[in-house]
Amino acid sequence: MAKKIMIIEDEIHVSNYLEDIFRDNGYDTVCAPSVEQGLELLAGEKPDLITLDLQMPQGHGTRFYQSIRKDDKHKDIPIVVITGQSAPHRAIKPNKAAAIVQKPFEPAQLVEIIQKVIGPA
Amino acid sequence: MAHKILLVVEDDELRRALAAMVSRWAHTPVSAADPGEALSLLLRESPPLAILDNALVSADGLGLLAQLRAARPWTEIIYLVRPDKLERGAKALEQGASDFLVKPLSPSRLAVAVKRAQERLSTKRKLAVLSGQPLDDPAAPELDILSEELSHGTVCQTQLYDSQQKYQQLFDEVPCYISVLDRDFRITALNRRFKEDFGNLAGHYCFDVYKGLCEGCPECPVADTFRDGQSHQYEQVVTALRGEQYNVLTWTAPIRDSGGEISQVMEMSTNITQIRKLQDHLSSLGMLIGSISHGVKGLITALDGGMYGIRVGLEKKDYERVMKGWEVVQIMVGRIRRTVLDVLYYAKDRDLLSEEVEVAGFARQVALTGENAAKKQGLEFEAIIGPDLGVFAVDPNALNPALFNILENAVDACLADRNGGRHKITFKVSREDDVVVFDVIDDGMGMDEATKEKIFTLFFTSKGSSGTGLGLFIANDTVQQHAGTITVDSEPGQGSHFHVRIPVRPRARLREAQAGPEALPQMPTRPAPQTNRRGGGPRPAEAETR
Repeated sequence: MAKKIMIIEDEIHVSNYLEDIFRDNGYDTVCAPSVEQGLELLAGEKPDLITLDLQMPQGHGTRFYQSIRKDDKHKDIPIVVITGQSAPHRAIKPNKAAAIVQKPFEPAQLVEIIQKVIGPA
Repeated sequence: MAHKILLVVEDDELRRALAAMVSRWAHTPVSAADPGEALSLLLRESPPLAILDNALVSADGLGLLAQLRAARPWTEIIYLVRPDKLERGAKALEQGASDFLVKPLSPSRLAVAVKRAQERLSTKRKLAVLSGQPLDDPAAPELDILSEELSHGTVCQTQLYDSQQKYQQLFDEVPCYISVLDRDFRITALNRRFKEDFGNLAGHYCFDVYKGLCEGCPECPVADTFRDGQSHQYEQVVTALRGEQYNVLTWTAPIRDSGGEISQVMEMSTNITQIRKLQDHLSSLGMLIGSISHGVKGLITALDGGMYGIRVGLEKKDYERVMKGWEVVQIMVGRIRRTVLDVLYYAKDRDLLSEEVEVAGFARQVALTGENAAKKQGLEFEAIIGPDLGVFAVDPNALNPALFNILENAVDACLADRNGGRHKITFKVSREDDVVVFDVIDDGMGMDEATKEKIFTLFFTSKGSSGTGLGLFIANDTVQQHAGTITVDSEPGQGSHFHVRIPVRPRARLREAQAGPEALPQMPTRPAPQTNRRGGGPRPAEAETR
């Protein structure tokens, strides 16, 4: 079974883009447009990796990051922060996040990072 | 000895002030409401002194003076005139008034006039004695209005009154808003400037009139001052009578009673709207760069997504995917173009180039661009363009994008509504007298109160990385340049209704507004509403060309 990546991203076109990249590389995907829905989805999903946008209108990505890091069931899921902020929030500790990817990014580079963290699909 | 002193003054305020002065001299003021009453009171009470105002509605002052003199020759009369009616004062003297005084009255001048009247009366009595006239006329009274024991007190009171007047004048004229609050946060005093811009709110609770709350505000500098006796400072945005919003910087100060207890607190507010505007502009230029770079990164990422779709689609000969990618590219290029234009608009002060525009044609153009944007996203779009819309004098190149910004916002609100369902945007144009009304109604995600309050604020965006917070700010700015208004009704989950009103003759409306009383005389450099909205300073475009 293919590895699954959860995409938390409010902007639909960016979310579709990430989904395309991951699917083209054989990963399964599941998308959440907000922190709230991301947390809800986690109840029924066990993704191998989560990509997280930070600046979202319905709640900042750091909230998701912090709550998942406290949650025993999910705290080991690697998180790749994908953000347009040049200096991500200090709540995001670089050594705790698997990687921080700046927007805009090269699809090949992103795939390389993902593969480094969880291996090929 | 207390005398009755007749006051024939129709002006309520002046009569009250005179009555107060007379009472302070321990005499009894008797006021006549009309000439008939004045005569009958004169005959009944035989006052030694009457004070008669030239400015009577119900009678000619000089005529009444002659009548009073004829009825009671012993009564001395002080005649009051306005500075521009001095000749009436002179005539009053001719007709036997003991003196005339120029308004506004000062107690010290009145006291001098009364003293003179007293001297005249005493001379009259001596003459009567010398000439053997009987003094048992009941109308020949003693006049000791300013007796020795009273005169010292009178002088003090006069000085006190004068200094009170002086402080009242300072209180009223100081170029700040001053209000005084008691321990219940009830407003007990206001200066003139405050009353002019915010109305006479004396007697109201401050939290009620300022914030619309039914009890005290959670953080209250006045309460802090009552507690610690220190001055506290805070900044707030207040809405004046005419609806303008002012940034004011407020200081509080304790007012202690004779026992040293803080009985009241004074709030003194300076209007710093101009300074804030300049500051906002400066800091916004810095923020602009940050906000735009962040927004543009989001747009470019999505644009990359479209290009990625095209590339992969071409590689795999999957033309459906190519088309999908192409659509994304189109949408994103459109957004980037608008962002760039918004930035250019913001960076450059732009005066309106108004022309006569046929409303229906203009509305159809706006509707067409709106419809394109909506249909591209699979949204239903309805344009209702009413009959008899006539023409209006606007800058179509500014107003069209402003309205489109609102329509685009409606599209985004529908797309952001993840509850699914089919969404619809309605664009309605109608005319109400001299106002053209544009309604943009969507059934998208809607807004809560907090979002609604901020939507026209520069750089506020509820769209995460895809918004720059410029669109609605510029829309609002443009509508205001056209002397129009935007109001919004919205409920979360229920959609939003933007209501834009543009007067058919914005220039005339703006001129009227300018011709009105200057709200802030202490801000002489306040710019006219339609020009140089954002003050001076070098403009980026000019700087670049050098």
